[in-house]
Amino acid sequence: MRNTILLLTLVALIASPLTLTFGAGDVVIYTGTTQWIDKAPADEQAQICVDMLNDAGINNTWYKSDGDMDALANWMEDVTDDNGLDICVLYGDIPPTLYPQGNAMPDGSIGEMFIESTDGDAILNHADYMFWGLGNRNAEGGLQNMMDIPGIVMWDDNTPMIVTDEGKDISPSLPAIQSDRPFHIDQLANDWEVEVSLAQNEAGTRADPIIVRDGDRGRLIPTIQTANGDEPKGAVAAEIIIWLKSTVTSVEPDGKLTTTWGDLKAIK
Amino acid sequence: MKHKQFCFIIILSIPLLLLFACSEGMESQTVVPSPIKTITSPTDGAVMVFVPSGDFLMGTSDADIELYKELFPLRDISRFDNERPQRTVYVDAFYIDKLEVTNQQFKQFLSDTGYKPKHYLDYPPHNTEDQPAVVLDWSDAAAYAKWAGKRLPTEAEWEKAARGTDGRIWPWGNEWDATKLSGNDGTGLIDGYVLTAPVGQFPQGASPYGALDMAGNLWEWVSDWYTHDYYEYAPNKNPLGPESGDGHVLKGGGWAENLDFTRCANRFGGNPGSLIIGFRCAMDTTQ
Repeated sequence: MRNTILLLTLVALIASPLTLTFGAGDVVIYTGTTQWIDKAPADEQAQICVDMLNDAGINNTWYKSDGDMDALANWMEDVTDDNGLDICVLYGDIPPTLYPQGNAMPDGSIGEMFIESTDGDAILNHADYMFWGLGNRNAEGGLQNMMDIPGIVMWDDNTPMIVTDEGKDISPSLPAIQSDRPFHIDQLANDWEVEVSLAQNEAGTRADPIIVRDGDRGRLIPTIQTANGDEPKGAVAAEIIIWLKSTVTSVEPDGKLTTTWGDLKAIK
Repeated sequence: MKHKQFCFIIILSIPLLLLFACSEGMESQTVVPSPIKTITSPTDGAVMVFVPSGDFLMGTSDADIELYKELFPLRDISRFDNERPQRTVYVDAFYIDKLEVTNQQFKQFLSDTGYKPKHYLDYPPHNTEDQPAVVLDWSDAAAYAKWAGKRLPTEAEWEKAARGTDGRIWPWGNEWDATKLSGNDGTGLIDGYVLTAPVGQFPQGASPYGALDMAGNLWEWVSDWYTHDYYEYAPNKNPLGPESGDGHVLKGGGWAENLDFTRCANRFGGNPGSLIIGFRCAMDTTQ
């Protein structure tokens, strides 16, 4: 009996760094509507992301249908300001339940409240222009209103991205890409700043993927915004999420974080 | 002494011959059929350029692919599958608008007919009179063409009007030149225009038949339905596109596009996303 207790204690101690690494917060992936990537390849990439998150022990939910738009909005409302780092993954379209179409609610949308909470919540977007919207619902206004930065755009297709050292460390799956809708670092304003640039152009003015943060509030993570490309979007998204959740929400001392991230990469 | 003179003449003539040979090669990239024949469309007042009947190279060849590997080293080559194989295509003679349809022309159509467009961006910064009309719904473009007594060009007609017969990459030739189109990065730092330029601002980027803005400014609707694999079974004479498809084909690239999307052979369809679209019209020569 004593041996059994000792064994269980040992197992618990060994497992604790992994379980403690990921604090509160969920990940939700939405492929109900997609843009610049067809639904089938988007689902393939989402499955890869889900599998990797599951392997890493990160809670996640995958909404596959456009009928899930309301459920997605309900989830986002529920987790805003819940003290957990929640992440929403989109494939080129932001549903109107998160950001009313035609820029009808430039301030105060469910999506904007999500990234303005001090939870550090994040929206990660693949494929087409972030927040553009299917059928040009929002056009440039979507990103500008969500970030409260008039004039910010994501033009400049075909821009070669060089993977940074941080990018190599955070996302081993990230290849060099030519981004069609890169983030314009040189247009950041107000409290927005670069948290990590995983890949960028030579001049350092365009980046994709990148994590940008609004002061101590939320984050945007444009990730492989390309037209009909077959890059490993799902794997890169998962690696960014694993890094973000292990780094940002860990309750462990800094020294243990590095070890834990190394362990996670080894698991993959 | 005579021998020395002979050698001198020979040595002098070699670079001249080389220069001549090079200029011949360059000329094949910049040849402009002359004179450019035009008519004016009576309903919308658009100038149309004449494109003669005959064969042209449509799509992307194996040699092009090798070049694309250098130009776009980070692109997956499968990206160009929908432009292949390259084939020799015959099209009958036709006229095509020299310029993209402007807001002034499109509003005249709306005014004359009372037509209610499904998706026309009639607001700043897109809607000054001489900017190209941003018409995001294909049926709106087709309705305009019908009112004007014209039609949308087929994809084959559009591509021939843009690149001529020699399979060049861009309307002006095979060398990328960011000053020859309203395109680039959407900042205006290169071409002088943050968004679309008023039509016809880049005569240096003219196609072999004199059409302007075939690369950049706005993506353009054509009449063909889009399927990814159409070139694999398309007819070689006056192809009209598949009978149905995933939206309609878009050609030419827009004001925010660079060297890849603005290639004459590039084609987009189905899920246009953040592409800003306009159109120009075509007309049979028998009309």
